[in-house]
Amino acid sequence: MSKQLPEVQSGLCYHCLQPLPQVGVIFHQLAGQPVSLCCYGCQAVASTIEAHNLLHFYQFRDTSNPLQVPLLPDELQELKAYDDERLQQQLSHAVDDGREITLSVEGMTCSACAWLIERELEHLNGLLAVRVNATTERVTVRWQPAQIQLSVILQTIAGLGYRALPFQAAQQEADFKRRRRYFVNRLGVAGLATMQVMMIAVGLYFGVVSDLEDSLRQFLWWISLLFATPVLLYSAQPFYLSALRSIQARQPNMDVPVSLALLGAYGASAYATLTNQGEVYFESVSMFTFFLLAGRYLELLAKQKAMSHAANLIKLLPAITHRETSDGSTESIPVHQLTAGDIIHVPAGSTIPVDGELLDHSAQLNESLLTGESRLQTKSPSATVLAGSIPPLQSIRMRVTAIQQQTVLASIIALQDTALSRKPKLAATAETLANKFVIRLLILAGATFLVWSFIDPQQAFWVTLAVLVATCPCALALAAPTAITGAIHRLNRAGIIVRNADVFTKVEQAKTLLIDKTGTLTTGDFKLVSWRNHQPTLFSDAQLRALTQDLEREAVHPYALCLSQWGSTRSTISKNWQWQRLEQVHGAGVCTYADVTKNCFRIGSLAWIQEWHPDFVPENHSSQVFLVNPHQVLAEFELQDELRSGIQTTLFELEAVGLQIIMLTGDREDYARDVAARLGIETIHSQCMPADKLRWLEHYQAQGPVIMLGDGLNDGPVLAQADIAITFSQAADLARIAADVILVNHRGESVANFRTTALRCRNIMNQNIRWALLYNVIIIPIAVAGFLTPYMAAIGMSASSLLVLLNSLRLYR
Amino acid sequence: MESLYILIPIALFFVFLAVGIFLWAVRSDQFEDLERKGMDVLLDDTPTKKSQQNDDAR
Repeated sequence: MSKQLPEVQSGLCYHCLQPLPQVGVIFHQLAGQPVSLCCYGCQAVASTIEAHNLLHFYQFRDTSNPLQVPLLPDELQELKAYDDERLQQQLSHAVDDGREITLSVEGMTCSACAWLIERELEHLNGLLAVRVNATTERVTVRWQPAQIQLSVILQTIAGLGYRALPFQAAQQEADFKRRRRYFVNRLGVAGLATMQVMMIAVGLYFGVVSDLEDSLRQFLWWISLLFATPVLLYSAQPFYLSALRSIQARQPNMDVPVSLALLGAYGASAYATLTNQGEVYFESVSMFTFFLLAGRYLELLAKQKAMSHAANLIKLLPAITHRETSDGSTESIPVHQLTAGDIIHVPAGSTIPVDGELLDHSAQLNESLLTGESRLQTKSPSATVLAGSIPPLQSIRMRVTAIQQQTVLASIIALQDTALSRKPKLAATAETLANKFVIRLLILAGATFLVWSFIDPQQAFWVTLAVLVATCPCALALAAPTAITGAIHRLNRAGIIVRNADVFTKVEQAKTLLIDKTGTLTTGDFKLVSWRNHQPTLFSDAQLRALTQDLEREAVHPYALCLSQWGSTRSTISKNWQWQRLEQVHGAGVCTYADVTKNCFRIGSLAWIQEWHPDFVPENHSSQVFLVNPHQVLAEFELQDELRSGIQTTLFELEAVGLQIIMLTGDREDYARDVAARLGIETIHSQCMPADKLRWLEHYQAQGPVIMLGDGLNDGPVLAQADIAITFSQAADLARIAADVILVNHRGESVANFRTTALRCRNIMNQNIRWALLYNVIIIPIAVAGFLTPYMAAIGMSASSLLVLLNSLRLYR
Repeated sequence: MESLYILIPIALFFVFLAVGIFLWAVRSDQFEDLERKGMDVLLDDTPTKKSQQNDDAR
């Protein structure tokens, strides 16, 4: 390869594009070019890519999205469990010459990634076919189990730096694919045929002003009929079916007038062609069908995109676990094989798959998925541990008490399902309006026909047709869909996916914004905002950092985690301290036990260090952590819950437009109050369980529609019932299933952006409806009076539809 | 103007052909991943044993 590899921004790892660490950068030669890499994992992947001649990847990948998959060697071992016959039966299906499975791939950011995976897998023996879909981040693999194990395939993908796991393609997905194909087929046919009809229509339009031979005109009519027929009978099917269904349900929707208009105009044109008199409207009906169909298709795509984003991470609970066997060793088995009474080991950092009781003497668990509380919970022996919680620091041993559907996690899911089914559906305003309008219109057309039968029976049919065509509610029918499509598209580009277009009409009335704290307002991590060295003559800054790290290394408090990470950036410092042991004092901090007082340290809360230094007053009144020895205060630290980027300005903006902002959190009062104060939020409801949150939501819903912004599993039920539910794409799976709007870009500003666009969409929708009604009201008397020839009616109809379309196009800008 | 009687049926034939090709393309999953297909042109199919030899020769 003589081609130069493209440069990446300095300070970033060449492979994963994450910032390089301060120490331990790896310098590597890639195709004769020096590059810096952040870890051995990335080096291994880069070497694999080079060795297999896949360097094209670096040339064409999308560098704006860094990879975010940490490479864990332990996980590679676990993949072996997927070779289990029974698990495979569940996840894959047999095809004639092997088995086929769908994998969801984390870390795929662009088409180059898809290419890389395909090329790499093709080398494997026994692999029959591989297809990577970059849009849905899925890989479909067909392989021969006799020649290659599934775990080898998974490991190969992991070797490239992606995390692939078997994915149970839901019924819904297959359904989606069918629906998508259904629309693409019809849209394509409509598009191709409409072009022909339009082209011939141009000829016919000229025929009106110049002389067109009668036989040629009739020939063109017949050709138009030929092309318009598939559009009307095939492409427009979705409208007829939907109209029929809505009539059956006794709630006629917009598709009823649309179907009537389409079939009426088509029928009249066909009649005109057969009898060789009157006017034809083939171009209008074809074009109308095409536009409406395109709108529906885009809506469907947006919805499906949101769903597949959500479904990709249906990995709430792990599929594999480690069971203790009778001789004390462990084996990897699928979770569904567990029974109550089994003893399992959960490694540090993995999700606990089932409910059970703790067998270790104590353990710290992160239950934020269930309760929203960011602090670690200390569990005593035989305490209940819940599926979905994570032991971040040590591996634990537990006895299984409840599996699968009996877990607490499953009950939260059930709560959400009921909430979702209770959510009221707003009928679209434009549709109700159009319905009333259409019924009156039909009556009017009937009356016109009757009256004209008396005046001039020969003209009656054509005047009635002109009335029907001129007043065809096309513009009205297009008013809402075109505006909504525009808004969905615009938001999509900004990284906001709208799953439910109903929300556009609700935004205006929304009075209250409920916000979850952990994971939504804050990222859940603490960061050091300022610190002060009080004894610069005794300890250098670097020494204090190293000391802090040594002290906090084993502690589990979120403050400690932050401080020990901060300390760890320096490792080459002379350490003139040592101690026998460290002790963690609950609710206070960490202290050392040593023979000499110079090696006694305490790091912790103000009250605790004031036992040694009663007169000490912190320089910075918001410092929370202090480092002291018996003689002096050495340092003080101020830590803060890290805020989501952009959330602060967004909240101020939303408050300024009159939204009431309320924090709803499962976390403790004092943590919540601290964050609320920084963001200017006045009302807080803390320590809420999912059911409590639901009660608060109902309370506020009594005052008007409510917007809910949340991300946790515990927010799922509230999101499901809120009028407008917004979540982030890295949120818990349940939250995403319940949400109407998903913020893919993870930025706080998107909430304000969504609101502005929704309001604009609503404005444009209203303008469209007003215009369409105005046009119809003016044209009706003219048509009824018989002054309107059908072709003028057709031009009027097209012009009004076009105006609506152009107005909606403003949303794209 | 008489030529239209021949040209339009010919056009008709091509449109039917286009519709046929389109339906076939949909059926063989070519509209499933539009993002990806655009990139495929840029990325080599069988990576480059030949081109490497050429490079070495130079």
